[in-house]
Amino acid sequence: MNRFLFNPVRGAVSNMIGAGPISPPMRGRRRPLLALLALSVVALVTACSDEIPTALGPGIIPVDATTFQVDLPFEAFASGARLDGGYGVPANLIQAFLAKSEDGQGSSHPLARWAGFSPIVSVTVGEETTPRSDSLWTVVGGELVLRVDSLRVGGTAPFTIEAHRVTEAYDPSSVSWTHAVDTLGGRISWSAAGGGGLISLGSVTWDPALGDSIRIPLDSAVAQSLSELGDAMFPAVRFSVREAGAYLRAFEAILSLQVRPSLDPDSVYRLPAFGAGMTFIHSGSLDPASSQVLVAGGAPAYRSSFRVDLPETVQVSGPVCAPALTCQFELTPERIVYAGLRLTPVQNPSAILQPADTMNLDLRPVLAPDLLPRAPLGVSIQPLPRRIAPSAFGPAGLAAPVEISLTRFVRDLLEDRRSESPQGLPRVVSLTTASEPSGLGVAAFAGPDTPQRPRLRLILTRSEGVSLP
Amino acid sequence: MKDVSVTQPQRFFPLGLGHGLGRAWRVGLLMVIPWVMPLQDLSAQSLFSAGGLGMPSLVPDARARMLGGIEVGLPGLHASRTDPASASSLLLAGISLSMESSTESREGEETTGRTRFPGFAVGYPYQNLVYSVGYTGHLAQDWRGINDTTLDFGEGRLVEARDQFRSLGSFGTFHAGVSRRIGSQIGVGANVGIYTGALERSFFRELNPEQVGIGVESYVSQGRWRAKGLSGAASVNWQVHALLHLGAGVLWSGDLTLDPLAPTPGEALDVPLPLEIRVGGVATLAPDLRLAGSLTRADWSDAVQAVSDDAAPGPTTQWGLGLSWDGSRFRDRRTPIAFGYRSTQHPFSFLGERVIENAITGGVGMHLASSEEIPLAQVHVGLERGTRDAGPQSESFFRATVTLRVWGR
Repeated sequence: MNRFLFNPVRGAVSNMIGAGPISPPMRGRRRPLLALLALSVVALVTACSDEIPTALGPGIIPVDATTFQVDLPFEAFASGARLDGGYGVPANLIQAFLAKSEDGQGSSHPLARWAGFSPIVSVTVGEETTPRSDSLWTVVGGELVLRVDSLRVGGTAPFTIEAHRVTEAYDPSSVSWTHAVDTLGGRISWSAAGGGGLISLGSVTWDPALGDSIRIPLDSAVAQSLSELGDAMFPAVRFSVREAGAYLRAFEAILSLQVRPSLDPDSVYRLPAFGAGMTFIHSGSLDPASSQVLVAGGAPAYRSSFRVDLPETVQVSGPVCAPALTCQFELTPERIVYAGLRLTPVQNPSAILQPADTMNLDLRPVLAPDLLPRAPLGVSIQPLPRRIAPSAFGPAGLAAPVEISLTRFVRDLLEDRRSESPQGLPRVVSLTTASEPSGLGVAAFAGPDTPQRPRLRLILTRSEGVSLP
Repeated sequence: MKDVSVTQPQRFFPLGLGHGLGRAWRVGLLMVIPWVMPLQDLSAQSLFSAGGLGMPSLVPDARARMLGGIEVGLPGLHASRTDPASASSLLLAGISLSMESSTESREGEETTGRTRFPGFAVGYPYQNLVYSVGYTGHLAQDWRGINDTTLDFGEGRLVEARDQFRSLGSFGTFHAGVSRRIGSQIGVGANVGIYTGALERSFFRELNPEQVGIGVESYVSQGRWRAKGLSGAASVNWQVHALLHLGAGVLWSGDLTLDPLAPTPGEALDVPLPLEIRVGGVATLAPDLRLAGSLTRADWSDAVQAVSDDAAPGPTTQWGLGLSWDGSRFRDRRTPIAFGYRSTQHPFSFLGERVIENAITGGVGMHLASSEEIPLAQVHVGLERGTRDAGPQSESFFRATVTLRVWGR
């Protein structure tokens, strides 16, 4: 017999507060189990809530942290600045720049070229409904149309737009101010900088209020000469603007002939050139050996690269050094809450390269510095490109520095330096534009050898750390 | 009085009930799983847990809590860490689980709340002994402090900053015990336990990116410590008279060692936990009307010294009283109701002030399933409404504890 049987004491105890036996047995078991199931579901759902009690105010926080700012001059954190150019092809831009610098010394010229004209004109004579082909047509004139962005125009209208026929063959993907062809396979200079020998096709005065098409009529002789170019020399035109300070963005050039077909000599037909392509050349250039500026942008694009060598410690002053007035403060990754490269905009040494559009600057690590200027770049250091308005490079904006964040990069460098097995992270960075080329404008900043040289702004935080109560 | 009429103890609860309840048990086990899974933080939280090692947990049982927090001497408090002898009356193997939802509010601040699973226990009678294992929360410390400030970088450059400190920690005990009856009136039991858990403390400082620049990152300082230590408990339950049941127990703990986890710097901290002495009991005042009471005393002086809590009281006392009425029924099911009062001195101070917690308690229970004369499944819901005071600081709290007991007694 079980030792618990007939135990009056245990019976009394087990009655208490629901601990004891109950009746009826086995009855209605299903319903309580369902209730239990529902309770379990509720338990699961409500278990998701979790709000931590929160106190507001300084009293309860057991950590005393100090945050302060340090500015390091360029020579304290970087070295080996260099300037490289030639990145990207202007023809890849969707616009070509027609501009003349304020000082009148520099200029930018769209170069338009066409593959040729169709030898056949489709002619519909009289009441005929089916067009007939006619290859015996006579040129009676022509027209050049340059379509520009009439809403974004720099300079003072009206503008005098000139067109010149380019008489020397060039390579649209490598053409520059000085070279018609500039490839590894061969380098051919223009006979004269800026497009070689040029033949005037005419000029016109244009005002943005007239619309976005600049029309330059061609007389019959000029048009005839363009139509007679053979396969070896495509018809090509260089556009110019005469007024200093003009800044136009062209996105299409159209060349067409006016012809009189032999089958319908009383009518004039329009015969457009096909295979149009446009690029631009400009006279602006920068001295690669200059350490007076750091630059980014242009077409082809410029980059500035330099090596980042963070110091072990920085000299600081203030409460963080108490009771001393100044002290050496070790740089560790967790102490860096912000690192920004402070650059002071300056006017571009080449006036035609002065930015007229927003510059999107990027800072990217150079993965193989030994291969510069053809070294591959890593992903951007900053989360988003730094957008800088063109006014920052104008006279009014020159005093205000701009800053590019590189907090994560600096933290990674410090972490790598502290690591027992450093990965050898890239230490050379390139200042570039987010896309290359980005436009005619080149962002220029005071270089390492100037009083306004780049600086590294560090915001550091120090605390004794979190400890046990 | 009713008698227990079982011919022999069952070997293991899923197998040997023999009353056609096998499926019900399996269903019950499935329902138990979601209660067990999220076992993580094991106690109610409060801002007042910010001091020292946090806030001690009450026994994780709704019946005990609704009666004023009685921690020893309560019949049916099976496999309790503080009263291992209470399992000696177990007839069939079983399991008990508790869930608690709590909220607290301070004047002028938003009410916060959460749900936790403060403990579970499994008991298994074999021959003349009852073996038990369980997990019970012991100390908990989840809180956060936020302070908005303005930093001066000189030259008139001011930057807004937000400091945030967060503490997430809980220490509990895995315990295994054994108990048995000595004669018909005395039950004794003992258990040993190991402390587990971790404490993570983090400090964040965030600067306003609009004032600093894109790319500003938070300053973060973190530390993590793992807890370890040993504990042991012994208790005795004595049915002094048919109308009086008494219990007494001691809970011994060695040093609670907090080991820093890499890369947390520093040395391990040994916190000597106190010997806790408990007495309690239940007296039958009238048929179905019973009075329960308990008293707990512990000297935390060494512990508070180890954590440099100069304002802590040292010796602490917790007492509670409760009345239960077992005569109520709902659809032929016994639905005992109870209410009580509890007062607890917390061992650690809050902002330099001693913390006192007072609560009015109450609740209801229900037998969900039974076989013959043996209750097989019970649920109790304990409610506590009270305040915690520390000098000028005060908060009110509400806590509901649900204990499901699938237990052959």
